Amino acid sequence: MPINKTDTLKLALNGEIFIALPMRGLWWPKRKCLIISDTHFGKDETFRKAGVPLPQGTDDESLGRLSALLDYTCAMKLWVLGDFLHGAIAENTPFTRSFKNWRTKYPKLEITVTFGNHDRHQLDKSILQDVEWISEIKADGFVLTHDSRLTNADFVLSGHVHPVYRISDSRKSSNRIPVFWIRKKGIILPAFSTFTGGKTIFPRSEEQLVGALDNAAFKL
Amino acid sequence: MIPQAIKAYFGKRSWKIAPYQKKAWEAYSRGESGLIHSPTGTGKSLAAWFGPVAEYLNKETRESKSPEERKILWITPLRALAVDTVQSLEMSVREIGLDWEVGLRTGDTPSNIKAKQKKKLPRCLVTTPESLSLALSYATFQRHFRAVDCVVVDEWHELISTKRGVQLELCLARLRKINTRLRTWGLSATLGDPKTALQCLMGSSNKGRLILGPPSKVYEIHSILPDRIERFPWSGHIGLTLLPKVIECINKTNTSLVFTNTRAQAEIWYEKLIQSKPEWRNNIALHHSSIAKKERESVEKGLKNGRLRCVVCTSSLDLGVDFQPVDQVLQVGSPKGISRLLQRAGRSGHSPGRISSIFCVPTNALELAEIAAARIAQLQGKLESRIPIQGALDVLAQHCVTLSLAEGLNPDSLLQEVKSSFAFRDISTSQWEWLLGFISNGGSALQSYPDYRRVEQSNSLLRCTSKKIAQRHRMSIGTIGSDNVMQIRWLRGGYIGSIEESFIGKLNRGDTFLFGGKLLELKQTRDMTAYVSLSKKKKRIVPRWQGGRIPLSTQLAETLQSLLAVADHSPASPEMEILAPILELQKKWSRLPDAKGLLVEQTSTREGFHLYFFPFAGRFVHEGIGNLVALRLSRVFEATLHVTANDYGFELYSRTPIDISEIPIRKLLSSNNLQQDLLEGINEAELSKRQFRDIAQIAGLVFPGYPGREKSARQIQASSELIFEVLRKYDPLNELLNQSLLEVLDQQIDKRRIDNTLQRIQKGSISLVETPKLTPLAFPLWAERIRTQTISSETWEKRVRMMAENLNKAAFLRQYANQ
Repeated sequence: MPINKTDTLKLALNGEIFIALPMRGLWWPKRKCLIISDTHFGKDETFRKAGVPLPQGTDDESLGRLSALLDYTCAMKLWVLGDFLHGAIAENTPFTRSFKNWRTKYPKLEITVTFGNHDRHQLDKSILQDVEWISEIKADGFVLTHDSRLTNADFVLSGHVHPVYRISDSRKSSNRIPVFWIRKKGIILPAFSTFTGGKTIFPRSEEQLVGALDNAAFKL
Repeated sequence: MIPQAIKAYFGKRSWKIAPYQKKAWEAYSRGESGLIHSPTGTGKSLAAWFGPVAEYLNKETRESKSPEERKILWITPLRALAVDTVQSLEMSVREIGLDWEVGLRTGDTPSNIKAKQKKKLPRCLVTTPESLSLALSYATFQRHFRAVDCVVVDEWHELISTKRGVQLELCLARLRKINTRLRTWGLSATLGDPKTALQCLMGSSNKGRLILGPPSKVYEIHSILPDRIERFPWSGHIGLTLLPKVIECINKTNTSLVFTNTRAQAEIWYEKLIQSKPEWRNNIALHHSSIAKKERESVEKGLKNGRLRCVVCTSSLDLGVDFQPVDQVLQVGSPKGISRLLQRAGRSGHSPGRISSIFCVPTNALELAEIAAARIAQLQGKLESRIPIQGALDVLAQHCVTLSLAEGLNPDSLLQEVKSSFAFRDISTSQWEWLLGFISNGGSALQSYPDYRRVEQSNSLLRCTSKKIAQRHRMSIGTIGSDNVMQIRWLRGGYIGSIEESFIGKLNRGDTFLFGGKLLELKQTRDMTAYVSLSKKKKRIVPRWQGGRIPLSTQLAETLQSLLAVADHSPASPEMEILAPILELQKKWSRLPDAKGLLVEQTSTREGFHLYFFPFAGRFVHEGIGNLVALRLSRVFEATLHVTANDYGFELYSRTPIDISEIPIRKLLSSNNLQQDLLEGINEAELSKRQFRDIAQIAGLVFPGYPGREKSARQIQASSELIFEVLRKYDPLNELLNQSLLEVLDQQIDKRRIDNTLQRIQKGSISLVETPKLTPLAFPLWAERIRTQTISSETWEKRVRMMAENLNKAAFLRQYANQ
């Protein structure tokens, strides 16, 4: 999945330049940092363990997209704004194996995760090596955290909501596309995982939406 | 030999023992099973119930009681019926002098009573298919069921073409395995095809005897006739023009039921009745399936004790044993089907010998013809048949897991058992193997389901050992999809009813809607609950519930078509007399639809080009054929075609003219390549996704959302849409996806009926008529399309009214010119 520059979208957030990328990623050039949210890794595993037969595949698809974004941006850092994991994971499950294998391709990448509500299921954080877990990231006056309601900073980058926007293309069918939701006091990222539902949002007039499809990020 | 006590029971009521009842008891005593097929109100229940009772009484006189108490299961499709059934069964045995305990076990039964039943099964247990299935998940119950000699399935006709029926078939297969001498007796109101109903109930276990009751009762079908009709029929006001006559009708008797076809219609009629007759406020009630159970029960009670003079209701009151018959029944709108109309008529004069009658209230002029057709069909003894469901793997998956909670299952003997049911008699080896995989290790592609467990396999036995999985499974047993239903509650507390999420989703805070006869203002929504308060606003929305669109049945549609074909020289009925001017105009401008041929009309208006086809095969079929023809036309012409369907036919509309003379219409309607073209013509993925919702729930892929559900379960909540996408991407050969597609073809598109219709068309003539204007038959289709294209109902009514006036003028001028 090669990315073209024309498929990206430059955003000025609180005086700082960010780039919205296809495949649901946000790039912060100044910090050489790729920001994503709500990856919900291991979700299908959680289902299977609970007796719900769901096939494997979504995690590998997510990691594939992540690789494409990292390769395009040559990022030094990856920040994940919470709900990195869907439920508790264990050693030597398909996801941990896939993840460790994937990690070897990006040995120098620094990964930081801000805790999300789903991450609390994972008590043993040591299974995934070289992942730093913190409650929030502060950088250049921005706060990055999972749920924007839990902070009153001036401008927050957050996840948790899984915003989607409904576009009706005809009388009968409508499409829901994941969006970056740019609000007065922050931006809410789309869920990175495709195996997540979304919350349909109705933006106010002063708010902006950026659609995040696999082949393009575009203004709505 | 009929025991004296039973003779006395009948004698006391001055009833005669009907020959068919005697036959049923005798067959029972010979150890046979069967189906008792008899109209409502002819004493079917006693025909089944006194079988085992008589056997017991006869045994008692000849020998001492057998050491082990033998048991009876009584299955009823409705919880609400169950209570009444227990009472009437109990009363009859008391009177006969038996001390039999009759127990009740449904989802509403208190847990202490359930626990008692688990220790000792009552002599007779009245239960629902779901509760029976749940009981089979416990080893204790399976042991108790060894003593069950007789199972009675009440209202089998209600279950037969549903997944609940399939679930029950599987449960019966298990009961027969537990006790090979089990006798199964089904009770069915009149059906078009009782032999299939019997076969379906018996499975491959034994032949079973079909016992036919007395011929159908005489029903009188009347119409409330409008004084004048619109020459161009349309149903803008949902037939409210007849409201004064309906009020007059209700006024004449003590108790009336007013049936409607949809919940929305019920809400509107209820509101209007109260507005016109405020003094009736306390004597009129509303009853539909979204209204809180408590409220519904109080309405049912009010009907029984005579407090209510009128109840406006939907199919929610189609069933229900022996509640006091009302004096009169009214049906608002098209009867849709013969059996349905007769069942509703049967709500009046319920006891033997009394004539049941129904007053139909047409909501547009053409429905007059439907009423006349229903009357004819009834006299000809036509009834709809119910087609049993085959091979529903979602239900089978649920059932197998259910059984695996009670004991380890041997796959081979389980297959034997499953195959003995009608629904799975033809299950293929590959389907069975897929199913075993689905519940134990994931299904076809083994490697894509690591760490999955639901049912485990050890020593070649399948068994569910996880307590958590077992608990969750038991909570979701059943096959009735909860359609993402939201509760409606008062802001200050108190439950009002439930409504589809899709409706609430379209409302904003502060919007007002009509529900349960009250105007409610939406205050907030939280946790699958909509909080409301009473509203005084004028502007309101009437909810549109799903499932309101029943198509006209084949049998009724056929009768209707032949009635219209001979309308100008057939013996007149009051309905057809009133309709005469409309049909005359239809004949003048085009022709009357022919019973053997297909009428196609072609006309142009200022808007564009219109084609009207009238196959008379019901709305769903017309939607299917309409899309099919549009697709095939689009291969020849470049035009955007718009399809609109109703129960009589469909419209193809294009802004640009189409030269139809170039195209053989017969070819457009060919049944070659049907499935492929049908699927291409519709949004298959979208329909399958919707169909998948129930399947996912039944097969245990999603869990019904309800307030206060266990927290840990939230982690495994995903919508059926998401799961559908995941399966399509990563396990496209999953059998449940295929089932979803088959169900779309079967239920949503009704391919079978489309195929039959197309073949019928191919055999007959096709007449293409160019009409000067929209004909009376075409007009409702035109109006329907305009409705879907305009946003507000006011502008729609205005536009339709204007068109109708213009057409009327044209009709009048022509008449004048001819003279």
